[in-house]
Order: sequence, then C-alpha cells, then structure tokens
Amino acid sequence: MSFLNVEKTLSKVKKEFYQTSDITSRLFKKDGATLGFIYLKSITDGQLFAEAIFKPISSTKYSLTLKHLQEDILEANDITEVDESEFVDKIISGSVIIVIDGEEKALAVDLLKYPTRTPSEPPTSPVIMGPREGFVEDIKTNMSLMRRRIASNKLVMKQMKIGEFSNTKVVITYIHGITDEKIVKKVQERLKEIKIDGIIDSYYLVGFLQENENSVFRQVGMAEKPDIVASKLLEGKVAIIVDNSPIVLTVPFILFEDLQNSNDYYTNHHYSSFIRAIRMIGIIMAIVSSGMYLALQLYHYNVLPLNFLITIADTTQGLPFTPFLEILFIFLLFQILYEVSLRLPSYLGLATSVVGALILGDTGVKAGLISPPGVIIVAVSKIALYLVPQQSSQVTLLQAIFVVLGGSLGMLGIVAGMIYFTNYLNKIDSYGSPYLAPYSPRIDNDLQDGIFKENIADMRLRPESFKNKNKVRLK
Amino acid sequence: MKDTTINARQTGMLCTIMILANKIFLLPALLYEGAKSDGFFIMIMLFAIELCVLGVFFLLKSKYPNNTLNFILEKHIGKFLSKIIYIVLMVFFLFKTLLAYSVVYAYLKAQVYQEEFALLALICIIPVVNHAVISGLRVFSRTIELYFYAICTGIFICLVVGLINSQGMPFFFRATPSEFFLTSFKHIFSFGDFIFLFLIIDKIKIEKKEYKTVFKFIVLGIAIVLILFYIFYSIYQITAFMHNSALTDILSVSLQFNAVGRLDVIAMVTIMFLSFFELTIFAFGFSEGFCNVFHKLNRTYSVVVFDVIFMCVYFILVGRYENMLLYNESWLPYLSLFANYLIPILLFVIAILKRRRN
Amino acid sequence: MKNAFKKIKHNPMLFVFVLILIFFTPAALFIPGQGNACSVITAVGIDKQNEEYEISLLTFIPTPNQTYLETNSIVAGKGDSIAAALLNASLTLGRKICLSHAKTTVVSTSLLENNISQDIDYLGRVASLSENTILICTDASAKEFLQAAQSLEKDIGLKLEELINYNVGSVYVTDTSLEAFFKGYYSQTGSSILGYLTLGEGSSDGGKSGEGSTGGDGKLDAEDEVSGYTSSQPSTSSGGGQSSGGNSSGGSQGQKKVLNSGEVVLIKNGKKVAQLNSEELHGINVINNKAIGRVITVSDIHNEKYKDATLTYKLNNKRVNISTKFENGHPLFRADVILGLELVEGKDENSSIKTNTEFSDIPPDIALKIEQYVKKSFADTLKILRENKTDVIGVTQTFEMENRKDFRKFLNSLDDPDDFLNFITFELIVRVQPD
Repeated sequence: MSFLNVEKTLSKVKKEFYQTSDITSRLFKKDGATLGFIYLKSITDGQLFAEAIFKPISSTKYSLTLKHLQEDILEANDITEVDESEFVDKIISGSVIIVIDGEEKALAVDLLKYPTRTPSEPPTSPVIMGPREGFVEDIKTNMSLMRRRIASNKLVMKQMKIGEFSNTKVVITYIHGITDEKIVKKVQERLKEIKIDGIIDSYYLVGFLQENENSVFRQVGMAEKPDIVASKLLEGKVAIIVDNSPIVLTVPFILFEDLQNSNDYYTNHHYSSFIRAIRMIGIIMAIVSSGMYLALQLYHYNVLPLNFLITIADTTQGLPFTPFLEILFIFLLFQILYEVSLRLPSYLGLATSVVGALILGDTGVKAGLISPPGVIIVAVSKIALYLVPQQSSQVTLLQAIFVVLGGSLGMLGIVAGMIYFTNYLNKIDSYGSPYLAPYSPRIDNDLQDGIFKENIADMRLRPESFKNKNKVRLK
Repeated sequence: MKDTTINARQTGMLCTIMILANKIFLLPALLYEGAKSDGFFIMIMLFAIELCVLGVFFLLKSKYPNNTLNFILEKHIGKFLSKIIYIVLMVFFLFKTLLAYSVVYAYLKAQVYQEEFALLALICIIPVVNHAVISGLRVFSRTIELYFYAICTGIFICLVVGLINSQGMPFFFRATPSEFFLTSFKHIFSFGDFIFLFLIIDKIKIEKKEYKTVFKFIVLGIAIVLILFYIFYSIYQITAFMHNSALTDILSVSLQFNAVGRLDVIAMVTIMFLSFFELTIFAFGFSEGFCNVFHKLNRTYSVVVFDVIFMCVYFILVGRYENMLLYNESWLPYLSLFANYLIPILLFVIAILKRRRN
Repeated sequence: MKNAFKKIKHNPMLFVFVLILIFFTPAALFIPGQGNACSVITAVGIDKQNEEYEISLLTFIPTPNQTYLETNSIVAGKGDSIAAALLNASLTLGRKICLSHAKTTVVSTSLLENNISQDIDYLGRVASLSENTILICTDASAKEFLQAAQSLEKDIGLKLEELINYNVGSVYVTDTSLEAFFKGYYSQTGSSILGYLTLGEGSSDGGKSGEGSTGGDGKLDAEDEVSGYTSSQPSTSSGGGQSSGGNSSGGSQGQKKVLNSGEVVLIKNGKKVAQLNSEELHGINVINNKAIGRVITVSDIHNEKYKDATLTYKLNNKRVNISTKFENGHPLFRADVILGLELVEGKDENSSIKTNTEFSDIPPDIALKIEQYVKKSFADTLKILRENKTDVIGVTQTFEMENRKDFRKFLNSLDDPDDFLNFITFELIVRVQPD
C-alpha cells in the first residue's frame, strides 16, 4: 500500500506521455492540502473543468479529502476512483486526474470533449420520405440514436476497445431475446482476437468479421442510418458501432440486403416490388451487358437480329480500335471520369461530367474513335451500377471480369462465369446465413421481403435466413 | 462437420435437370430415325421404367434413411462387389459426361461458334465443373435452384413458340415393333437419370411427406421432354431426322424467328446453363463413386482423376460426337442395362429383405 | 513469386483466369467485329449452266453512315458445287460468308428441270442457314432477279423478304420455306409448292402501276365459265405500290423489274411439273383454313331486287372441315367449307343498294352462284393436281391419319400408287353465309 505524492506522481505521468505538449498539470494548495490536476487539454472541456472542478474546490468549506471531493465538492457527473496504473488510460479517454497528497487513490473526472457534428442525412442513403438522421463519428451520439429507436431494456450494448494505439471504442449491439447468442459470442471472439495497432474506421473490422476473408464479396452489412440498423437488429442481427466512424456494421449479412433500400419500407409495397425488380435487372445488366455485347460482336453475330447487326456493323466500320480494345478504352475512360468526379470539389466535378459526357462521348464518336453502340452499352452498365451503390465496388470488378470473359471466350465464358460466381457465393456462409438467401436456397418465408415485397401487415415472421430466437414479429 | 445435405426441392430440381439431360437436343432426331414419330412412345415407355427406379429409390430411402449406399451395399453384398458396382457407376457417369459434352460441343460448334473451339470449350467448362464438384452437392444444388426457373422459362418460351407453329398431330404408329424396341434399346444410355440419387442417398434430407415435392419436379421434367418431343415431331414430321437440336430447331422454323429477332439465342443460353449443370451432376456422380472406391483420397483427387480420364478418353477414343453416338448405340446400352436396371433391381431386393427382417 | 503461388493454391480459379488472360485475351484483343469481318448475306440466288453453279449473293456492305441504312451489293461465284461456288464468292468478297441472316433463296426455273433437292442439298445441311428461309423460283436467272430485287428496295423501299413474306402470308397462304420443300420432298407423295416470281421489263412510271398483267386477276370478266365470276386477292385491287396483279417496281426504263402475280410452281420429286396462276392457286386454297381475305365479284345479277348488278364480296372467315372415309373400298375425300362473306362493293343500275342492312344479306341465287364458282375453282385445280400426280392439299396426310390401313390397302391395289388422286372421290360442300 503506497500513498501518493502529488509532485512525483505528476512528473511521472508526464514522463509516461513523453512530455507531449498538450499534457497539462497543475498544483493546487489550500488549507494545507495539496492537489494535483493532470489532463490532456486537447480533449478536455476547459470551461467545464473550471466550473465543475476548480471553482467548487476553491470555494469549498470541506476539507479536501478524497471522500469529500467525490461526494460533496465536485460538480461533475462521471467521477471514479482510480489507481495509479489507470491514470494513462483515463487521461487519454478525456478524464482529468485529481491527485491528492497522501491518498492511496486518485479521482478521475470525465470531461471528454471532441469536436462532433450533428446527425445529418448521409449522402449515400437519401430517402424521399422517411427519417433523415444519419450516424456521426461520435460513438456516444450513435449509441443514443440507437437507444432512441429501440427504447427497450433488451437492447444490449457491450463495449470493448480495439487497437494498441488507437484504443478505439467498439460497441456490440443486439436485442436480447431476438438475436442468437451464438452469433454474439462469435462476433465477440473474433473482435477480441484482433491485435492491431489502430482501428481508424469501421471498415477496418470488416476483414476480421468476414467468414471468407479474401473474398471479393463483402460479407458484412454497412449502414449509415440508425433506422436501417434498428430494423436489422429487429431481424435478429448484431450491430457493431465503432467510434470515429459513421458506418455501423451488421452481421450476419446476405447479398440481397444491398438490394433492399430504406425507401422501400417507407412507400407502397407494390411500388417497392417494382423498383426492386428494376434494381435486380439493372444490376444484372451492369454486370454482364458490356461482356455480352462484346461476345455477340466477336463470336455470335449470327444471333443478332439483322437490323441490330446493320447498325453495329455500320457504326463500327472504319474504327481504329477492334471491338475488344474499343470497349476496354471506353471502360477505362468512364472509370477515370468516375474517379475524377469523385475526388474533385463539387463545382469542378460538374465541369468534369460535362467534359466527360460531351467531349469524350460525342466528340469521340464524331471523330470516329469509338462507336455509339459501344458508348451506350458501357454507359448503361456504368449507370446501372449505381442502382445499388453499396455494391458498386464489387460490381465494377465483376464488370471488368465479364468483359474479359465475354471478349476472350464468348457467351460460353459469360455463362461459365455466372455459374462459377454463383457457386462461389453459395459457398459463403455468413454466420450461418446462406449468402444468396432467400433465393438460393429458396426460403419461402423470406420471399415476403424479396424482390416482390409484401405489405408490412402480412410480414408476420422474422426472416428465417438469419438464425434468431424469436420468430414472430407480428402477433 | 459442415452440413452437406440437400432438401426435397433441390433433389427435385436435380432430377429435372437430369431428365432434361441428353434428351432435348439430339435424341428426338435419333429416335425419329429409328422409330419415326413413335419415338414419342419410346420416351413414355422408358420414362415409365425410370419411375419404377425412382420407386426403388424411395423404398430404399425409407428403409435406410441415413445410411450411405456404400454401407448398404457392403452390408449385403460385401466389400468387393460393392466396389465393382461403384466402378461400373464411375464408368457410367464418365460416359454420360462424355456423351453430354460431345453433343453440346457439336451443337455449340455448329450453331454458336461456327468453328472449332475445343480449347475454349474446355477452359470454360472443366474449371467451372471442377469447382462445382469440389464445392459439393449442397453448393451446386443451390446454384441450380437459383437458375432453375430461368432455365424452365427459357424452355417454356421455346415450347410456346413451337406450339404456335406446330402443324397438327405427328403421324404415330408407323414403326414396326422390332424398330420400336430396337431403337429403345439403342438409346437407353440417354436414360438412367435416377441412378445418381442412389449415390447421394445419404445426402438427401427428405421426409416421407416430401416425396411429393420431388415427384412434382420429376413430372415437370418428364412433361417438358414429352411436350418437346410432341411439338418437334408435329413441326417437322418427315424431316425430323434432319434436325439435330430439337430445342433450337422448334424455334428456328417459326414465323417469329427473324421477324422479332433471333429467338434461338434463348435456346442457346438455356442449353448452355443446362449443359453446365448436367456435366456437374455427372462429374459429381463419378467423383462420388471414386471417393467410395478409394476411401483415402479426397474429392480433389477424384476431380483430377476425372479430368485426366475425361480428356484422354475424349481426345483419344471419342474425338468427334459421331463416334460417341456410335458407342451410344453399340456397347453403351449394355453398360446402361447394368447401371440403369440391374443395380436398382439389386437395391430393390435389398430393400425388400430389410422389410422382411423387420 | 512465392506469394503468387500461395494465392493460386488458395484460389485455383485465379490461375484459370490468368490462363485466360495469357492465352485467349491477347488474341481476342485484335479480333475484328464479325459484323465487319464477315459478309452478311441477306439473299442467295442459285443458277446452273452447263453443270456449273453460279451463286449470287445479296450482301450487306457495312458503310459508316448516320442513317444506318442497309447498303447492299451483289457478288457472284461459280463452281462445280454450291459449296465451291460459295467459296469462290467468298474469295471475291475477301471475307467469310455468313448465311445465318439469309432469309430468301431464289432458284431459276431451269434448275427445276432436274431434281432440285440435289442442287440445294448444301442449303439443307449448312447449320447456319435457318429452317424458315424462303425458297422461291423465278423465270429469269437468279442473279438478274436479285439485281431487280435490289432496285426494288432502292426505288420503293420494299425489301425482297418483305414482299415474299407478304406473299407467303396473304397470297400463297402456304409455307414455301426450305423446310417446307424438304418436308414435301421426303413425304410419301414427294410433292411441294414453291413461290414463283417473274421478271419483266421496266416502265417509265417507276413501277407504280397497278395494272393487271397476268391471269385475269383483278378485273371483271363476265365471260367467265361460271357466269362471270372472278376473284382476286385484296392486294390486286389496291393498285398501290406493291404486290400482285402485275404490280411492279423497278428502276429506270429498260431495267428488269420484279413482277408479283401470285403464282406458284408445283414440284414433284424435286422437279417442276406445273405452274399455277393465282386463280388456280385459289383453287388449292379453297380447303385451306387460313386462306381468307380474297374478294369474289359476282356480275350480271338479275333478280327481283337487282337489275344488272355487280356485287363484290370479301371472304372474311372460313371454316373447313375435312374428313375421309372408305365406301365399299373406295376412298372418299370430303371437305365441308363454310365461307363468311361481307359485301364490300355494289353497283346496280336501279341504285337499289342503299342501306347497310342489305349488305349483310346474301340472296340464295347469289349464294348459289358463289358456291358453284368455288366448286369449279377447286375442280379445275384438282384436275391439274391429278394430271401431275401431285398432292399438295394434304390428301395423303388426312387419309394416313384417319384411315391408314384402308388407305395403304388402296394404294397397294393401284398399278401406279403415285396416281392415287385420280381414284379418290372428292366431295366439296360449300356453304355461304354473311359475315
């Protein structure tokens, strides 16, 4: 048992922070008692420090003992007794350590203050009619957003820290009584096993949570809005909220989730079904149309109707590129344009799209470098990609693969590719959920929220694609 | 251990794919050549026999719900004979694959690629089939489940267009009994669809009440084949022997063909999907036999051995699909007799014996 | 390198993809589009002179233009066989020949003097040529015909296949495709029908005349054997820019033009045995369910209601019921035809045709005349069929379906089974009713 010496303790802690410039310490003496304060001023609320700690201490009539300070003097909410070994952890999480001479323990007062932004509508998941709040970088705000939506004692949030240096807070969220505990346990185990220097964004965890780590296909759901996460929790999934990231991860994940959009749930279900069917067609078009066009042009012109063949042959006659090179060229152009418009400031981005569309498209055709059908096919496939923005990176890769397959092997190559990728996806088992459910294997109950969505009043059971304890959602 | 079982619906779909295999491209023309339009009745007769084999399967499954075929055979006829049976089944499925591949290759060469594309076909088909077989029955059954209705829709479109253009009834009862039975015998190798089910008997998770589901898909498969035969014979009648790809040819003669675009692209894509699945099932049949003969070797070895034997036999023995057709009509029917009919009879006896003991 | 192997071991399909990238993609990068590398043939013409075939190909030539029009050219090749001739044509073109879009095959009638099935064997075998490719013949050479067809399209925008499709659907009402030819050829009777188009001299009016040029089609003929009844297809009276009744098209003066008179030729065992004009073709089509739309004009009508009236009826629907039977060992072919007619035109000296209600009525005397006319038309054509021993009206088929045993016995009893039509009794019952 050792008693603290304020000056020595302060200098020791300072040393542990390698004399960083934002570590601040202060000695305070009153009525023979010596107090020492040490904190990181970059993450501590200075005003609160003055009002909740300094002012009460200087004006108090009580003697400055640990007990009085904790119970009578300090006007802060979160005060904990800490050992010397916990000082560093507490300081980096925004607490002010109050060391009292001759006491065994010190006090840590949480005065953390980060710059935070207010919840706003995320750019990737806008809705026409529906809640517009999105997650922010602050984990506390995100947790409160979740609590607001599921105001139940059964909403469980378990916190842990990952990252040797970043010490990032990660909260595993689920609804007790709905979510299968085995999934929660599996997630916890996987997260505990992570020995990494830092977690900068939630995406860092995706690779660790996926069952098939090297897969092109993401096996973890990502949501930017609390209403989406709340609905997923109600389906029996586990959400992982990561500090400093506005993206919340959910597992288990099936591919079809990305084809569902929060808009679908805030509008007429007939319309939703129609839009989902369009989305489905669009995504298939996005993946195979360029490759198929190439295959038809290079190998199977005989199955093209004569009028189409005439148009294609007329427009491609005299072009300097062969069809394969032409499609690769247009493909590359579109991808460059996309990347440029993504990085440039919005006012310049608009200019780039105009230049891209007008100069590269129109002039390219007029100059006889590329053919109009080629531009249309690639443009359609590139636009259709964004029907499901969450899948855009994977679909872009698939597009490229199918262009190579279609161009090199023809239609047989495309069919082979489709079957291979379906087999590959069918092998993926995300926390016990078949990746292509509810269509492969067909799960009759889940078809109610498949391409053809049913009315919410008819969706009585939770999805069977995910393991959950409580099947009934509507009594 | 990972669950590798398949459900009743997936079993039914596998059955439908096997029923369609080797029957909707070349067989209608071959049967016409031998038995005129009465090829239609040959199909009915052989399907009836197939349904008996299916009955044997259901009986065996109800007697041995969780046992492997290997266990059942070894228990009753000993290790040596059961290995012989597996080897016969391996050869049976190898030649089934060869026949399916030769016919599809010939079709794609004539109608789709219009030139030799042996290497291209191999690099498209072999890796995908291998991957599917290694991934396991459950994985490719799920894939079949995803594309099943697309394939059915493709065939359905072909049938509807064919039906619109059909011209009355085909001339039936023109073949003599000897022509009829000889042609039936010559082409029994195209049957034997349900033998595969015996090989995977332990992997089929099915309750007695679900037999109906499997049966529904089988009826669908048989109905598709019979309707196609009927339409094909009613469209072409006398010239049916000239048309080597029934599914495509019932489209290409239609008035809609060329007018609204080349409709055969529908048949073309359907045939491609169907072929991949057929070849996967047959290759899996071989692999299953191999794994039971050589217990110590895993599925990857079976796939490698299959590839080597397949390519050697194809390039050395078969070469052209006409040679395969020659085998199909000469010695393969005898192999078929053994695999298609004798093995089910043996298993029927085994199932009956179990009932008596009980 | 080690890492690469590890990756490949982990995912062998990556290896396959690399193989594709190495062995297939580089070659594919430089393959030209097949639409440009191959010659797309839209029509094939076959001529034969001194045992040498000449193949003429109406070929699509890809031309960069903004209107995406089909630019055609005719290329010919000669050879001992059709395959050799095609190869020679291909050499001339400098491209591979693609027959998959050929919708029409034209043969000159000189080929029909011998068994044409031998000549077009190649077309039956080649997989790329679709089964529904139309097979027609012409009096001139096929090459000239294709040239005329080319100008037909140039002048009035009518493609050859459009003209023929119109004929097949509305004039011949019989399938004249390659498949239909082979079907007829391999049938028990070896009989089939081929469409027939003629070439004539061009006129200065640019081919817009609608005058009748053949077979009395489209004009009233009171001197007709059955008290002045004639019939014609709807198009013949249209006088428009296309189709039958001598409707013509063509280029400048002097150039040959395609004349569509709705004629067909009868083929027996691959050889031409007779040529039917449109009137005779109607005779065949009397018992053809699908053959509707023709107009029947009845002139010289004198009764209580009309005085010297001429009434034109349009055949709107038809029901045909065919049955066969054997009576005392003698075959009887019976066709029960119900014609639904609509009065579409009427001329009368008394101007008694005034109201619409009259149009739906067909007086018994007129009905009788129409019935007689239809029967005569059928009888005339049957005479030709009997003379040429060609069964293109499905007599054999019907007997085979309904009375196979008796029919076979009947055929065996004949000295010349091919001549069976002469020994069958035909009974045609025609009923006329307003539509």
